[in-house]
Amino acid sequence: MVRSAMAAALVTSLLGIAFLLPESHGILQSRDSQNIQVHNGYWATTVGGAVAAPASVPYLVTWSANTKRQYALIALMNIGTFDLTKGVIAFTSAKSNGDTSNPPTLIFESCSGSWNVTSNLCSGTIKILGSATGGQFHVNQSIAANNRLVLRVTNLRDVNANYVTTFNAQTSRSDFRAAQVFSS
Amino acid sequence: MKAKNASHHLRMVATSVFAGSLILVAGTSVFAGLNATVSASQVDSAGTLILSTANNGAGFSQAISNLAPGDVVNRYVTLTNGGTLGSQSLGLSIASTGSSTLITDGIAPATNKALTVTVLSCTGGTWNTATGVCSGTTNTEIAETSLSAFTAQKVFSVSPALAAGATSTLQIRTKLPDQNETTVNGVLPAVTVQNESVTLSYLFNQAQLAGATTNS
Repeated sequence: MVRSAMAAALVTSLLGIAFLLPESHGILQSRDSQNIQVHNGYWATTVGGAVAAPASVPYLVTWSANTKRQYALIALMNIGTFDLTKGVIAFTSAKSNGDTSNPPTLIFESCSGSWNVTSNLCSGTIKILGSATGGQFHVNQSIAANNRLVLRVTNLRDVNANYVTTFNAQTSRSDFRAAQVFSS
Repeated sequence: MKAKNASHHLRMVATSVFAGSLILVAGTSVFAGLNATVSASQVDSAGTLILSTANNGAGFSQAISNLAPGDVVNRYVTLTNGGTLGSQSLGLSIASTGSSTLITDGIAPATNKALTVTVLSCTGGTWNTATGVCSGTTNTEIAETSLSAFTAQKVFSVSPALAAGATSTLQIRTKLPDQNETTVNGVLPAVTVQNESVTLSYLFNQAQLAGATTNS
């Protein structure tokens, strides 16, 4: 109790001195604060049916046995924020028992107009983009953000068993514009 | 014995209060005396140190959006020492809140590279905010530094002093380092810089020049 009183008295005295001292005994500092938000874009595609909504799952197409020419319309959908300069579709084909040997060759085509989803016919000019039996197929066509590129996939082969082709859409940094410097 | 002790303590309290009072009175008297002398012959006023930031172009007024790996965004601000005192140790710290992948570089197997900031000044000329060109001399005040290393203040390396009323015209360079990520069927990688946000709080700071003795 007594010591507290003593301490209080001394603190009071010292505070009094502190308030009387000129301010120049401290170092002045001045600050200014500003905020800015940074948001990154993203690059992403999905693959699905010609008119289907984007879905984040592989897209499966079944080819029937003993049918000579079969078509499928698939859409590569750009769901990212960047306009893509190309797209990549990775695909594999397998029989129902999982056998991946001797897969069918698939032809990928684009249409300058639009594809008829019933007849699989193009209203404009068809452009053959290439063919492959599997692996990564590079679609060298631009796809604007929030747009889709519909391709016709043709299986010319007369397969003797049902095959299921699994399509996956892959997007990487090299699929859109190079880095830029923005100044404003 | 107890009574003697209590009496002793009371004397000590009384002595302390008395001593404190004496110091107060004496201090007041001394400074009052000084003030009286000063007021009789001259007017003294304390100096000021006022740092302010003004946007030059978009500056900090517009968010940065849709950044891609390798992109650089240059923004321009002007710092002004609006006080009456010269300053030193002009510097910047940045407090970042938001996605950790944009603040701190990933540790393997993560490969994300965080945002970086570089501060340049333009002396003897002005910045062209459209082209990013300085018509005078371009100085690197703070070299490219990732956000996580900006929590501590970094002092400008070329022009850390601002005279009273002087300005420093800066280019703030924000960069997302080049890096690659592959998305599959629209699913982003588990650790990603894509579609992420961070808020940067820039804190510019300056300190007064050391006190000087003037004889006149």
